Amino acid sequence: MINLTSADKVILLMSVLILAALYYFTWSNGESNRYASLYVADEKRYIIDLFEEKILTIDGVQGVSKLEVAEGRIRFIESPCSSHFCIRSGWLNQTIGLIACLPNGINVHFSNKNKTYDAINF
Amino acid sequence: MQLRLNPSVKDNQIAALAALAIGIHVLESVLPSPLPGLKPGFANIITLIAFAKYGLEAAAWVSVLRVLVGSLIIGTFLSPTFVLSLSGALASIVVLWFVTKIKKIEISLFGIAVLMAMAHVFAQFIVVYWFFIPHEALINILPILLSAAVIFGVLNGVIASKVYEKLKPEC
Repeated sequence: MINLTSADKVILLMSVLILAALYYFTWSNGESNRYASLYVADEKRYIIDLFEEKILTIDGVQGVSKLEVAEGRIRFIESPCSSHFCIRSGWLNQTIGLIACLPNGINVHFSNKNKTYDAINF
Repeated sequence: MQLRLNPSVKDNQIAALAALAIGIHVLESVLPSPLPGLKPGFANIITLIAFAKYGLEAAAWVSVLRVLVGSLIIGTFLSPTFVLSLSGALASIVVLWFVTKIKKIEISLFGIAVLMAMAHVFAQFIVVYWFFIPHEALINILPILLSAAVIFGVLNGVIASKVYEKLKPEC
């Protein structure tokens, strides 16, 4: 095999440590998504602590929507709309980053997100 | 009027190494990848060997020529792919420059390969995040890409060291 100098070993060890730290910070459900913002008709804004278990009752444009908050997650469980896309979309997650009931004018997203573009294509 | 270029011996050596690197770069581009951005980066072996044999300047030439000519052959010149290749290559040259500055610590080709692979991924990740996909969820892919960088860095380091050993008597 090849001869490793002590610097090589340090580099290898450091890179493995950096990897472990990165996996820990990105893949464990950390504090980064602790809060969600909820808008009603783009006017009223609520900040929701996702680690506080509760059922939210929100007055929307059409009527009352209920949202469940549990274990750092949030979802619609009741809404006056007819299609119930909001309920069917399930828990708010990182990939889409938004759940909404458009007929009732309610949308929820992670609040630490800056309002930027999702992706730019050329 | 005729333009006369008088390539030195070193120019020819760099050109030969760059040609090898370009060949590997182009061959690699047709390999299927399970994840966007995941690439073995075998062309870097040539950069490493250029660095070991002829120094930083030669390595930088080989690296930049590889990205430039490689992209012209594949057809990605000035596209996002090209920007990413270039940023990775420049980052690894910066790393090489640092290695030459640190004289007290002895880092072999193996360690340099790992550092360069990681520099590649970090630079490309920053460029992607700033210019192409400014989405927070993107950071979830970084550990996976970096794992691949460490693994392929180790592999490339071993290959480069072995090849360099075989080349040594000729130097």
